[in-house]
Amino acid sequence: MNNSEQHRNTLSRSEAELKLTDFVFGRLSAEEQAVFEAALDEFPDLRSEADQIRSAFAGFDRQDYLERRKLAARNVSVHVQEGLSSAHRAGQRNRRFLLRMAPLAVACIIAVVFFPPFNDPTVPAGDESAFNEDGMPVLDGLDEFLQEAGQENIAELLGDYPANLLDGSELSDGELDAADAEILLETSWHVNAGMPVLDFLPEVVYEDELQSLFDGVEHVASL
Amino acid sequence: MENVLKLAGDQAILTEFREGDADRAADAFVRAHQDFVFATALRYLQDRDDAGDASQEAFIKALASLGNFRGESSIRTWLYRITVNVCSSMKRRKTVRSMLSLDGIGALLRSRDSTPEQALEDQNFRDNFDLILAQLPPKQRETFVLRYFDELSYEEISQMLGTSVGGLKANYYQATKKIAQLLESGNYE
Repeated sequence: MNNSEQHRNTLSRSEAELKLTDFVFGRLSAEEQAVFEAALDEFPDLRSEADQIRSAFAGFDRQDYLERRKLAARNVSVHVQEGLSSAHRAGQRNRRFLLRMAPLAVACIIAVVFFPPFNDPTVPAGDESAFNEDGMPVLDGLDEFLQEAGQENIAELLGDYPANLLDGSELSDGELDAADAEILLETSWHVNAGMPVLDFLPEVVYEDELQSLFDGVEHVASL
Repeated sequence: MENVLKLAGDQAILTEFREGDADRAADAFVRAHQDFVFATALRYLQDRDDAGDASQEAFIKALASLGNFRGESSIRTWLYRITVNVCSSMKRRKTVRSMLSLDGIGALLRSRDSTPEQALEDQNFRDNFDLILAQLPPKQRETFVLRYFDELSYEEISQMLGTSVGGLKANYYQATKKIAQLLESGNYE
C-alpha cells in the first residue's frame, strides 16, 4: 500500500479495479483488504464483478494445473545433465586433442626452423648426382668442348655471366655465389614456390640457359 | 511466505554452488526452477520439444554463470530473461530454417521422436486453460501466468517484462476478466 492510500484509507475506482484481482485471489494483506472492502461498499458493481470472477475460477484447479506443469517439465533436469555431460566430454576431447597436437606442433615448428620448406636458392633442385662439389651441374663433354673452342674467346663473348659454369674453380666463393644468384634470379619464383610439381622447373630453366650458352660458344667456335 | 522460503532456497543453492558441492547444487537449482523455465519456454515457442531444448540451453547458460550471479535481481527474473533470450534465438533460427525450407524435414524428424505417451501428455498439459491463455495478448498472458501461477511480485514481473507496476496491474485485471468470461462461456476452443 502506498502512502496516499494509507492516509486516505479509501480507493478511487481505478485504484480499486487494479486491486480487484489480487483481492479475489487472496493476495492482499489484511490492511489492504480492509481498505479494498471499504471501496467495494462505495462501488457495488465491483463487488459483483469480484463474485463473477470468483465463480468462474471456482471450477479451475490451480494446484492441479501446476502439478501437470511440473510433470511436463520433469525431464528437463535429466536433459540438462545430459547436456552438461556432453559439454564436459566435448571439453575433455578438445583438451586431449590439444595435448596430442602440442608435440606435433612443436615438431612442426622445429622442422620449419631447421628444415625450411623452401628449396635452397643456391642449390638448384634435382638429382644431386648431377652436380659437382661446387654445386654446379656436371655436363658431359663440356670440358672437351671448351678445350676445342678456346676458353678465352668464350669468356670474352659471355663476360662474367657464364664464368662460373665454364671454370668455377678459378672464381672466389663470393663470385660463384653472385653468378649462381644471377642465373637463379629468373627462376627464383619456381624455387621459392615450394610446390613439388615445380621443383624440376629451375633445373629445366637452368639447362635451357646452358643450352643457350652452348649455342653461343658453338657460334664463336665456328667463327 | 512462499517467496521468502524460495529465496532462502535459492540462497542456499548459491552458497552450495560456490562453496560446496557444485554438481549437487546445480541439480537442485535445475529441479527447483525447471517447471518455471519449461512453462515459460512453452508459452514462447508453442512446441514441447522446442521448449525442452530451450530449457536445456537456458539452464546450461545459467549454470555457466551462476557462480557470478550478483543478486541484483531475483533468480527467477534472471532465469526468465535467459529463457526468453534463448527462445528468441531459437525462434530466429527456426525462421531461417523455414526460409531455407528445412522446416518440413525438422518437423518430420520431430514427429518420429514423439512417442504416443508424449503426445498424450502433451495433450493433457496443453488443456483447455492453455487454449484460453492463448487467446490473451502476450503481455496480458505473461502477466497473468507470472502473477497467478508463479506468484511473483509486481516488482519482479516489472523487471522481467519491462512494464510499469501500474501497467501490470491493469494487464492482470484485464486478463483475469477475459479469462473469467471465457471460462463461463466455455467458448474457447
